[in-house]
Amino acid sequence: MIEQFSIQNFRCLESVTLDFAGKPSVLLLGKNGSGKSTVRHALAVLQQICRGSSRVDHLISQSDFAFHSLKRPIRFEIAVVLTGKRFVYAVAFDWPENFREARILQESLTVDGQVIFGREQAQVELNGGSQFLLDWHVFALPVINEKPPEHSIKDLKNFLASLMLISPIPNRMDGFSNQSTDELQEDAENFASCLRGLLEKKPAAYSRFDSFITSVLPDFSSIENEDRGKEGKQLMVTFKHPDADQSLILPFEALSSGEKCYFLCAYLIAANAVGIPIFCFWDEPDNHLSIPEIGQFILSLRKMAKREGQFIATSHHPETVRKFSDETTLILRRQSHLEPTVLRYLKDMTYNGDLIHALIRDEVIG
Amino acid sequence: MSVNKSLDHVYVIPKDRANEEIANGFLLHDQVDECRIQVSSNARGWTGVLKVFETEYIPRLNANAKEYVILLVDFDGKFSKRYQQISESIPGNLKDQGFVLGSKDEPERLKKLFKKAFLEDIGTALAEECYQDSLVLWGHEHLMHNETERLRIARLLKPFLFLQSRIE
Repeated sequence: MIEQFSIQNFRCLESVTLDFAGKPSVLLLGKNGSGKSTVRHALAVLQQICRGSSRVDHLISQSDFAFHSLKRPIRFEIAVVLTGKRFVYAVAFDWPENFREARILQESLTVDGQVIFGREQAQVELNGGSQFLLDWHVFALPVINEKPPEHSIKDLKNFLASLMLISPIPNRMDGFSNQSTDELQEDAENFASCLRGLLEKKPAAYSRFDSFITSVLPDFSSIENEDRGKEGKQLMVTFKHPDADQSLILPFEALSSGEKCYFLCAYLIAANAVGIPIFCFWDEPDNHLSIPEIGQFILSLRKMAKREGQFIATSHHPETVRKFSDETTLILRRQSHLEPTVLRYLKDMTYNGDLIHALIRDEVIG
Repeated sequence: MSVNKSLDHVYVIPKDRANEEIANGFLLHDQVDECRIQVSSNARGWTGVLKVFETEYIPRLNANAKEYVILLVDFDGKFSKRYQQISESIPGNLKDQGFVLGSKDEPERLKKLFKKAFLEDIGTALAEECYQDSLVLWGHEHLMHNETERLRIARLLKPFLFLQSRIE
């Protein structure tokens, strides 16, 4: 679980700390441009480091520096608790004059307060004092490992690599896969590959997947991967009439955008149910859903988060807002494009009367 | 994913944001079937609860015997009078479909009394007690006046509200 995430000088987030400790699910609420999605982009930098992007220039550009000022370094610090251990990974970037890409200024990892490695520019120092030099455009975290059988650092890297940081575009979810994976893309385009990976690794997940889909689409019967060529598979969905011996088989891409979001939700819930810790940051999960579906959909994801998962949502929809409490709603406010975003939990703010009415009156996020 | 209206289901009308959070917490219990219970938007006051119930839900209850409604309020220290006022709004033919629940005073006080950080946690704990048939929080002096309604809920709603205990 991510307990805390601090961001400095990244786009509109000049100095913020998101405190998720004791809160398996949190709603980020703010006006357009307040930085909600920027939190996801910041997490994606750490995700991409652990997914194999070893060079800084793939992840940080000049426009990422707050207010385009290269004088102040970008810094991320994340605290993660996994199997009882607390990891703190920090990385800072600067952009010296005449450089063509950002440079790693500092990087460090501690486990339960014990330093695993520290880094100042190119100089990396390991716990125990040994040192080595590393190109200052290349991350150290991917190359740092423990001696087997210890694997907690590997667990951390796997966790960060598996972060689900999504803003799904259902039109791109076509149901075709030519390999399996557990690294869901931002637009969820590779949903079919992820589902294939989950069911290959944990076939028991199908039971939970099926029960969720049946609860939202009562005529759902099954989902199957049909062979397409040598390695390819195509998801086909079967619906059955409850009172007759009739069925309809559709390719996954024929489903509506909202229905595809149900399948994505079912995938997350099923993976979580078979013991895979799911961290999901879903930008506007209500985007493609009809009004009566939203509340229960959000509660299902919050419920998943209570079972050793984590769910962070952004939203502008009243139904979603109502399904979070004042303690789990984090307000992002920004007065203008020239000022940084400020964060406060809703419980620490006052508003008059009904929250939704107060939001409409611009009392809370304005 | 909205409630399945062809099966037994229940709507909760919360009086305010605090009661709404308790109700959401109830739904966050692992065994509560979110396809059988839905929390309506808060009615901004107990008179608002009555108004919403009378204008929006009484016609629905008359049309569908599988639908139930919980009016979730707090009694502001005047349980007998307030309970009577609210329960009288439930027509005689719908008494088995309507329930009135609430804390003795402001629900915010329950956080300290029950040592819970969030109101949602209180809702989840109350769901757990319903599920397990235990009475620690429900038996507390701030909630014990609900005993008659709690027993009715156990008899009429519990059989379909929880996934593992469902009898169909």
